[in-house]
Amino acid sequence: MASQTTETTAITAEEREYIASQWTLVWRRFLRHRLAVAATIGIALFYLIAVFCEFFAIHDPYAQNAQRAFVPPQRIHFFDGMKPTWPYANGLLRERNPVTLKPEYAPDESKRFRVKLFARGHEYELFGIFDTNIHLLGLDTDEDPIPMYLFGSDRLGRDVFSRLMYATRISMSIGLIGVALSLFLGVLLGGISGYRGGIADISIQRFIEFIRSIPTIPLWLGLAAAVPQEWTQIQIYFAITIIISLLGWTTLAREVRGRFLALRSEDFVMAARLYGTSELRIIFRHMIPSFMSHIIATTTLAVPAIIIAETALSFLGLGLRPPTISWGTLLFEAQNLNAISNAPWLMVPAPFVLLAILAFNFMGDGLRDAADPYSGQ
Amino acid sequence: MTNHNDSSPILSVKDLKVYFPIVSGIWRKTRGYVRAVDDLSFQLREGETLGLVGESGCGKTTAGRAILRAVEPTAGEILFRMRDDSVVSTTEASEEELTLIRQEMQLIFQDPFASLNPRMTVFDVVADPLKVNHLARGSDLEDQVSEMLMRVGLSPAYMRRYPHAFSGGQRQRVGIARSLVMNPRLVIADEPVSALDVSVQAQILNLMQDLQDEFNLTYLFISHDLSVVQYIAHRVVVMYVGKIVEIAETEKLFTEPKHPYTQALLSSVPVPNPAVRARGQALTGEVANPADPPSGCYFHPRCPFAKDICRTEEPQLTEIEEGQFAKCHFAGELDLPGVPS
Amino acid sequence: MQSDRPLLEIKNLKTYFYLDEGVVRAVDDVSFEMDRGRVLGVVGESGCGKSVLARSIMRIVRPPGRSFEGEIIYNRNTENGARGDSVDLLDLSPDGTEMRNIRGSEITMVFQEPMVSFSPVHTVGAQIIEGILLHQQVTKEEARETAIEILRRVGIPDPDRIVDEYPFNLSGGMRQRCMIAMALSCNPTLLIADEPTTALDVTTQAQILELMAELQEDFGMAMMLITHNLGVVAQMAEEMIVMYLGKIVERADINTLFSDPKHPYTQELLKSIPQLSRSRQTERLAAISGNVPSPFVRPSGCPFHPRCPQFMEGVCDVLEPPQVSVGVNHTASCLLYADAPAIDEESQ
Repeated sequence: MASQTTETTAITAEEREYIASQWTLVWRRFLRHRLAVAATIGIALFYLIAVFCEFFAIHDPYAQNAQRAFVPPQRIHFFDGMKPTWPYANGLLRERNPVTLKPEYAPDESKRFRVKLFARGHEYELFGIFDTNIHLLGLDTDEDPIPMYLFGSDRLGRDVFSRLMYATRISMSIGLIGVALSLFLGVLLGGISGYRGGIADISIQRFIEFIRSIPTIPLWLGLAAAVPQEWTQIQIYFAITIIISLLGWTTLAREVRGRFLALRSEDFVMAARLYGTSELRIIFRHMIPSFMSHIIATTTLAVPAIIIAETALSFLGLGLRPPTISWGTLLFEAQNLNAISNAPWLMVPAPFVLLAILAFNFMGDGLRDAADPYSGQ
Repeated sequence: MTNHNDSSPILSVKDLKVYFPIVSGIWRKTRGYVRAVDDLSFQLREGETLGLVGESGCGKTTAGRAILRAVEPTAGEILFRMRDDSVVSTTEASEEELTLIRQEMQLIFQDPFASLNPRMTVFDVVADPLKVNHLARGSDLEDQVSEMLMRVGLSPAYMRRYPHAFSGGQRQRVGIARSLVMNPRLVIADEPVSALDVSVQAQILNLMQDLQDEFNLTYLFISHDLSVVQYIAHRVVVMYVGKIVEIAETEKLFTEPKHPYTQALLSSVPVPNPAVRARGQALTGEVANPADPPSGCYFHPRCPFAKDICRTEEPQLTEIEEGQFAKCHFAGELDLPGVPS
Repeated sequence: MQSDRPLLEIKNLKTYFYLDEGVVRAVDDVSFEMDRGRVLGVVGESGCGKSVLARSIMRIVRPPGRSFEGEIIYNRNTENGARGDSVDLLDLSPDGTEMRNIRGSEITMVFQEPMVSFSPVHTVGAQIIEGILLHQQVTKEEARETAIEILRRVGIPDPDRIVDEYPFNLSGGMRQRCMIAMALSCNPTLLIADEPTTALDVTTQAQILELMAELQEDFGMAMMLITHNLGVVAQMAEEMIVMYLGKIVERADINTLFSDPKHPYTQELLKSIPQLSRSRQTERLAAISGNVPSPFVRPSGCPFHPRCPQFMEGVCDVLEPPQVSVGVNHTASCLLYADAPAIDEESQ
């Protein structure tokens, strides 16, 4: 028997560290990455908006009103003179400019409407089940439509803020669904390629190289143009998602293949094989848990590409089409110079896209750095 | 020497060859072979420790893995005597048979950091072989694992910890526990102490000896470190570029080596004694390339005793004295000093 | 010829690493001197700070590591051997001109893995020549001649051809020879070799050690040999330092240290290594119990006390052992010798 060693046992703070699992270690490492944590909170907010966009919207995003075209963003007052007060908004006065004959809007100082939280507004179905009319923001007035245009309105008098909320749902979910599809294809094909090797590996790798060698934009354009005009919004939505993700899986497949190849020759995998572990158990018990965190990081970094792809396609009028509301279709509205010079607020979705992309990238960076908690120890 | 069961060997390796093809080009044409292991033959007696020694690239690790069929042998036969005295050929065994054979034949790895899955607790690491082979479950499993951990000198209280909580020496103990938990009879130890700190090596070597006595284990101890091998092995096989150059009892090999390469290895080890300073002993040249070995005796370009015959004719492994084999044309004639005194 | 001041005086050097998990005291209050033309072995296990010590002298410790206290006084000689100027390397900016002039020409280093120390995209020759051009006023042709000459000197066969080879075309032993050639190309006064033979096979190791011993004599430089291998240090060094967890535990000339070690760690370490001998060792090795502690949980008092067979309760785990003199030119940091005269900086 070994007479040496066996140290004293003491349950200390270190013990917690010693019994910390992979995910605890990853989480701790991730928390150290401040920017990534901030980005994660941002992303959570985005998805909160995506899920409850009706609640966050003030107006019905489809409601048109010729009397309210091109309303500039409205000011919410927090001060009455120098004195802080409950936020309020003024009424809207519409005049036609006698020279240009364009409608012009001015605050109606005589009317003050207090901002209301959880106000009642237009009816909607939450999750398609509950009928409700509660909205986060509203004004204490019976005027219809309520004169509250935080980001102004577009040429048809639709509220840009409300439309942005709805667009967030579409655009963020395309990112998610698209990446899920890429993930599925990537893990499946990358896994086969890395694990089986041989002919399967060679053919899958050549196929990936072939796909990657095709310039993406023209291919997208071609595929998107092939989507039949008569399809419903939902059909188009899924068609576009599939088109985008069909091209995005290659990166993931390569990542998975690389991990499989590296793990196949790891000592602990060989040890498992030598004590009789079945191939399936090796894959699920040893290999997949070893690269799961890496896959999550790579996946996170793949989301922004898909969001950008959707936005770009829709901006060109080839992805989603109105009346579907996405960041891309909103920006489509801001395409001509005239619109930008007259109504620069139509550009508001652009910083949103930027923010979302950056947030995903920062979060992905943080995850990637945290993904291997055993390196550098 | 300890007493061995001399009746029949637990393992006998005959003419083992492991060649790796060198492929190139998109058509993956084979351009030649790396002869990692070439015509390796030796026998292991039950309860003994056989040291397998050589420099990097000499094929000792590949040989160890080929015996376990972790690497496919190109040719040759490996016979293993199972617990029930039936002799099986690992080279011809099916996957199912291999699973049974490997319960009695296990591997200890060199690198205690790479050989443990960092995402499994120590308990899971040691219990996995039992679970996979349905050898124990429930509280019995738990008992067996903690018993094993105690035997390798680890407190079962550490069972729920992950490998990152342990130092190299402790991890190596976990690795040993995993290899021994199925109660194997032959353990192939591939450089088990060379990745460890000097002060911890001795612990692991002592542990391995204790376990050998306790479980009547047979070791194939692969190492590049001659002083470790001298301490732990009963007999030693010296390899050079895939081939055996000498086999002998440890004492014989270290005092009266018959092959010039063995002598070169012995005099190359830096002696931890400043009073014994050897200079001018170093071999010239470099280890031959196993993909393109020299003609005749592979060692001739570096051998201080090389003659014409060495360049043209490959010597055979012949018995020089009882139990001592050397692969050298002049093995009987050379007077080699062995370990410097 | 020689001036009376040692080549290098290191006083109370501290290099710490500030990590998220805590502070690693890699080099903790280390003081010693190096004489000109001597070979000093620095021995210790992984994590004892021997490599960081070398990097601290070279001023190549990277953040989060920082040498923040102490002195590394480098005493130059003038051309004709008289006492020259002295400079505290710790006062120099690590990336400044002065340090860059010293590093790579007056103090050079050989690393464990020559493959990572060479740039893979330049030939061996180009890298040696660049070093020479950087530190010496010679033409490109002269530098190339010097490079070939020094390659020949380190036993490279056919140096005219090898000078234009890329590092990956060379074997490990050859690369290490080239690395040594590069380190010697500017005639350094101090060569720091950090585990120069650890990545090599025994027969190659023997070649390289022999070469280094020979070159050290020929070039007359001082050499600091960092290794975990007691055999290597016994064969090469004249003096030896033993480190444990960032501290020097013992220092003496090589024969004294091997024949009469005073610190329990040194004693145990020497007993625990298996040694080649003419008669096979049959009794058990005297292993040191326990493990090298994690750098974040450093034991109180003497860092070796949890593993020490001569541990004195209430003393060793409380008091920091001072460096005391236990013989001629022989110091140890152990409380067993607490009565021995303490070493202050001047008397050593």
